[in-house]
Amino acid sequence: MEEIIKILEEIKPGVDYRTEKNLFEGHILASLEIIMLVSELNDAFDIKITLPYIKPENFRSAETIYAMVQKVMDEE
Amino acid sequence: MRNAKYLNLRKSVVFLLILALLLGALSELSILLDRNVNPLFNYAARDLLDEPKNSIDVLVIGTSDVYSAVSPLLLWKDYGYAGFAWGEPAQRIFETHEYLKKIYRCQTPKVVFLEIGNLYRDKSDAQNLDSMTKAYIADVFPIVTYHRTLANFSLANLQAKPGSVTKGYLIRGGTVRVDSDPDTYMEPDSGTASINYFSQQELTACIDLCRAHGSKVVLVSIPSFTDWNMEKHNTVTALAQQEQVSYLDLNVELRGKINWDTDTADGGKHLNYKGAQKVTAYLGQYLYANGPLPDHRQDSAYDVWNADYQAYAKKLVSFS
Amino acid sequence: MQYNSWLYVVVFLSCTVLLYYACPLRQRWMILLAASTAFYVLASRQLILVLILSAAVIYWAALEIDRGESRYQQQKGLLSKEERKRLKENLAIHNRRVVAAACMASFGILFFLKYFNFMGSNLNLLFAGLRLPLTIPALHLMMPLGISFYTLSAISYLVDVSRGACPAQRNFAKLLLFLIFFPVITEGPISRYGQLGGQVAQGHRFDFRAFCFGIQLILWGLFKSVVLADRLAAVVGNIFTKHSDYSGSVVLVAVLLYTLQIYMDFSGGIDIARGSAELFGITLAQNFARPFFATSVNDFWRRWHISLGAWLRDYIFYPISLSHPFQLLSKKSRAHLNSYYAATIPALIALFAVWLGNGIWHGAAWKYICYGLYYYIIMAAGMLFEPLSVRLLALLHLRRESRGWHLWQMLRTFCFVNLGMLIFRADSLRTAWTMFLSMFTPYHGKSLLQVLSSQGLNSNQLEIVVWGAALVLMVSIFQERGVGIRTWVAARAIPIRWSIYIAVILAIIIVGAYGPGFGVVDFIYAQF
Repeated sequence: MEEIIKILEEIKPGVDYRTEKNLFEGHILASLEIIMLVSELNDAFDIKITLPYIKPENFRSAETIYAMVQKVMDEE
Repeated sequence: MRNAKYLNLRKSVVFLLILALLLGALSELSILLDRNVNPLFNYAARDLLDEPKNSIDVLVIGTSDVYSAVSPLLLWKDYGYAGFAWGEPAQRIFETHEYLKKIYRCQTPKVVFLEIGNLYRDKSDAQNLDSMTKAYIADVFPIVTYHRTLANFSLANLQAKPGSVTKGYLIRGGTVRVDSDPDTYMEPDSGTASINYFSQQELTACIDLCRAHGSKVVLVSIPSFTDWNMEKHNTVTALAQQEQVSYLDLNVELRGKINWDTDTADGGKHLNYKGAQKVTAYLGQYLYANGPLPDHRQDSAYDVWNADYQAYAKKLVSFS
Repeated sequence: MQYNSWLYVVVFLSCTVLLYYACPLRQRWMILLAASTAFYVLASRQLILVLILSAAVIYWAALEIDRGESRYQQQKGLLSKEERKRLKENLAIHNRRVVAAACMASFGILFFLKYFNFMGSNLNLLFAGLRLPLTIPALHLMMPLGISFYTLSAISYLVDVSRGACPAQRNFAKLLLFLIFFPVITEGPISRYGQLGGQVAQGHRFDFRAFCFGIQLILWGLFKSVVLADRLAAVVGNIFTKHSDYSGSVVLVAVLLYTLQIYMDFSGGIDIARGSAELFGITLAQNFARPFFATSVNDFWRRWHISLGAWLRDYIFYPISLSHPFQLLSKKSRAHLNSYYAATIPALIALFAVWLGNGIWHGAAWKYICYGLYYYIIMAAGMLFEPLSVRLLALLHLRRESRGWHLWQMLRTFCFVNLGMLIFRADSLRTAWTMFLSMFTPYHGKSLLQVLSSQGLNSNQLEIVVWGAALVLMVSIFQERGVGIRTWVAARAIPIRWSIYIAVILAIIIVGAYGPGFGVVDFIYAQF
């Protein structure tokens, strides 16, 4: 979880990722940042996040992102 | 629950009633205000409804070509015929039908010229159905046709005198000559131009309505450089045969007589007063040759027509 | 049938609503399918077969994917981990092939009908340049209604099924209804199956409040399109046609008026579409979110034609930038560049495809392609200079959060958007360029108002446009601040609420720009 927040802060600083629940719909993470985030996550956790995971409900908050990473790891 | 449903239903009905009443009142107002507004709108057609009952013998009805090209007072001067030109910009055949129904409530013309330029206005079936819808709505709420008189009105119009001096004709003095090659006008062509299904149905309905009232029906197309061609001529000729009515295509009949340098008001779409004189003269001869129509010039009930003619002649002088 | 016609509002929509609620709940979707088919056939006649063909291909492909998936689910319990993995990989390859084949078929139809003549004429130029004795004949092709919209919806459905984001529809008629649904068929929003597919197929109970909201939205859309957009059509058309007669402020104003016209026209049409759907209890996706409050062109495209931008993002941008070669590229660039550029440069390549796609989607002409690339260049430049501008702002002690900076960004975006509209509206690229240059040459003819008046927008008309646009702007400001206009109206007492309704209806009927020869009356008087 902490690692994800660190990555998020690198990609786009100045957001309180612990509380923010509207990262996707609020356009805090635009498509460009989503791509950056996915590459970073792939590297950091050595996973492969595929297209089906790229949907709004997975990117609403740090928690949902964490849950998604968990799920990808489980699948693999 | 059930109560709420009925309450909503009642509310909706009341709302619609209020809306209908308002639209009805505004419709009346829009017709009143339309007197003497910008003559180009020329919704003067309705003035026919103010004429004395059963006083009109010849009716010409259709689009802007009618009020631009047919001057009933010329028929009056030469033959003593009582005619009226009911033309409205972009009139559709569905509107023609609704208007005919209205007109027959107070007039029984012996001859009705149906100007059929309106058959080619709609470009698709959807437009055609839309015109039909609009015609029905306008019949209940004329505001749909005359709305523009409300958007920009002057109260002076309310006091304007009803009745048209020119019997529906609009004197168009200006001349804008045709710009394109005169040889392209009515080029020989054996093709046809199809008419939308619903327009054709409605034309039949109009013809039947006129016949039911004992009027002789004549289809007519007014010379227009830009809007008419041989394909349309061929189609309407066949249609007239099928309906067993006469068809006067003045684009053909007056070919060579209409001078597209001097007789058009707007580059070949509409005729000006010079063109109108030629068209009206032709119609006069046609009426004279095709059966007796009463000459009212000595009829005291028509005295006002002589006065109208004088006023009209005076106006005309200012143009020529 | 246009959404702002008497035929649609008074006859078609009313009858469909009555039939819909007269029908038993479970069969209600059939009324929508029948109405949508009638709507389509009236516009495109036998070309409906093209749509049915596309729908059938997509239907079959989705079922094929679904079948494979359920086979896998059945077998996976019996297999070892190794076998399971292999089976899954095979399935993924099979699915990819199915999706590719179906997409090629649907896109193929679209490309053939929409772009064949454009490609042909360009190839002919090329052949002539190379002195090759070849010519591709121009074909007389008819476009089925809404093909650019339903093709994208169809493909999004199939891809979503393959990604497991939505289930495959087993009932062909219900899938067809999703594609042909009459409120969205003419100009969108480009719908997603997950959002709309279930809604259209399901019966909805009559809900008075939602129904009134739908009517409100339709009235608002009619107001925008009939009172404003249609009123501007003539003057904009006249000045764009005779642009060489004008320069300076006249051209500038014509471009601004066109932007206003197209916004009122498009967003008004979408309002009518969304309102129409709401009459049946169906919610469509948003397509506009006050685009002129955007602070960057990026932001603009998140607020203007939202469904197109979202489609390009989900089905072009993400697949390309998350594809294997791109991930490698981004890894490599991270080794050589700082992290910002490492992420930006691969994205720029993917974005090129997005904007090329955006341009081509709008039409088969070079100007549309340039229209897309125009936005690409602005956006790419913005991204490349971002670190520089951050430093520059810091140097000048400008705060990005300040009100002044915000306004400046809005103004800048507005200018970019208007230039884009100029490219969009002008006859050709060359014309757009000439018109752009002519804006810098002062116009010495008649006064601006006189020109507008002679071209179909006299002072009365202009006044209506100004008041109407001000009203739309006011509503937008409230919406931007999060005020729900319709909820606000619904909360008023009956006299006020009804007065608002009646005022809007009367405004549409009385000052609506319809009827014979609208707008040209003072000038040519030729259109009757």
